[in-house]
Amino acid sequence: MRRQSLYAETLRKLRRNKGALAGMVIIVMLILTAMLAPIIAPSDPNAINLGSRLLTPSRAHLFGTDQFGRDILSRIIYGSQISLAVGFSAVAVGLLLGVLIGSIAGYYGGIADHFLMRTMDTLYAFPAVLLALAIMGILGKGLMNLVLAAAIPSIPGFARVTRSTVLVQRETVYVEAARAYGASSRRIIWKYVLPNSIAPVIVMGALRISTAILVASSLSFLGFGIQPPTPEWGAMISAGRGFIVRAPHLSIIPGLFIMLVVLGFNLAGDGLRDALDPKLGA
Amino acid sequence: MLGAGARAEDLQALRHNLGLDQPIYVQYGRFLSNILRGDLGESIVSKQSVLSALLQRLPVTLVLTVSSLIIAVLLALPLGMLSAIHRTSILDYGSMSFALLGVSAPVFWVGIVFIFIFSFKLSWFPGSGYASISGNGFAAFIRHLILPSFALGLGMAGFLARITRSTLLDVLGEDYVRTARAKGLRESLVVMRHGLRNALLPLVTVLGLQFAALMGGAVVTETVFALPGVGRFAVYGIESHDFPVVQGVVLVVAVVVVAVNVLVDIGYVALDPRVKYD
Repeated sequence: MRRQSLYAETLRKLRRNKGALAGMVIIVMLILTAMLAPIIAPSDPNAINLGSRLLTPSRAHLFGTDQFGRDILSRIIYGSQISLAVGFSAVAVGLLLGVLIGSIAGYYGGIADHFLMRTMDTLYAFPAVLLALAIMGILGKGLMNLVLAAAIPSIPGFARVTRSTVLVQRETVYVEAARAYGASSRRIIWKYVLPNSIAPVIVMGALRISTAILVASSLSFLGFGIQPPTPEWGAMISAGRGFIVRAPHLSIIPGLFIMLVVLGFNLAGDGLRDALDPKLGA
Repeated sequence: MLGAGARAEDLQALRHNLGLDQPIYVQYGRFLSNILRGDLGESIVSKQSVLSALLQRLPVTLVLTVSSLIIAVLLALPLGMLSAIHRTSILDYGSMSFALLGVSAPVFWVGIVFIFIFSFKLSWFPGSGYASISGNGFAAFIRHLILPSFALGLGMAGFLARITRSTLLDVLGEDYVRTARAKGLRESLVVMRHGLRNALLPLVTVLGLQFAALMGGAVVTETVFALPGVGRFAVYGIESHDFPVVQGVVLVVAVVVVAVNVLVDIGYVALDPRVKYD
């Protein structure tokens, strides 16, 4: 009963927050664009047409064409699939591993806690982009490696937040009760501790999607992420750099879309955080 | 390194020369003991000592990160304060929209847009390269630094402005601020002396934590603006599979990040007399 009312309350607060609404509209548009890409894209994103290279935006090509005469609008539309996939899956991987590590460290304490959390602290000392870059250097290029590289820098954050909430949950009366009737540690963690400590992790996850998208696009920009000719926004900006004087739209347009999508996730994440934070009130 | 068609005995010899035929713990132990002696190995490609190559490039990266940090703080404090003082006004929405856009824009894209506008279109600043004070004079040094520092600092400025606003709002709701107002203190004094002073502490904490992000941003910024710093060195190292270089950069950057955070911890004592370390 209580959880349902909390859910309704959160939804009500989210709906009244104009920023969060705008963010959710952007995200929904992005998801629709990604899903309907084959239907709404005006042409094949990889169709080369050397006769119409570097065209400025016009009615035939809304966002112009690139150095191979490919339609930039179509490439932007297909590129949304990659941004979305990398953003969500990187956060999912980081969240799962972080929650696993954080709950083990928090629930069991002692040497496991020390070992796991000091490892997390060490990871914190490396800038996300540099760490991701080094991981790509070791694993090699490709979509799966990009997801992993964008996910690993986010693990310490999830682990820390999970650990701190698990530490609180561990001492609650109902966990004590569960222990008293002989529930196993695993059952206690899954059934009582995690469900009650997941809210701040979810908020953090929502806020981390934008970071993951930025890290992944940075890697692609540097040439270590998604490889051409796959349409990826960061790689498109990079490819357009050489034509910045003649055709600045090659770089500017994909960047605007990265910014819009990151903005959307930031707005929605902020809204979710405000809605779930009881301190801020209604 | 030997190419796809290498002979088995050459591979074996190379593995032996690089110590790769030893167990991992032996390799790691040797790596650690070399670090303690200041030896980060040598670049596989250039045969140059990684440490000396890094020390040559580190000042560029530090200059870039520190200058963008300064720009970020100079932009963020006034923006955040304006927002907090004129809460829910057009000023608040304006500065927070700017801050949000700053946080959301990818740093490499901001850099390219800056190069396009301020270098190609307006010819105000050079769009790439680095000028050292000793070699090119102070004016050239600053002119080369402005675009990359603003590009890198903008995102941080947006982030800090948001934090400044929220911590200042918290502080301005405190009892002692009400007392200060009640005793008839001017609003500007209330905000500066009682508000900002107390909002600075969490801000400095965030600054320390975000320094790592700034170093990460420097990797990309250096590539965009062709600055010879450690970030670009790392990119080069990965491109050419020069692992000692990558290892060295990652290690040095981590050391810098940890050192900055230690400095931040020490800085608390200066900012807040209540904080004492035993």
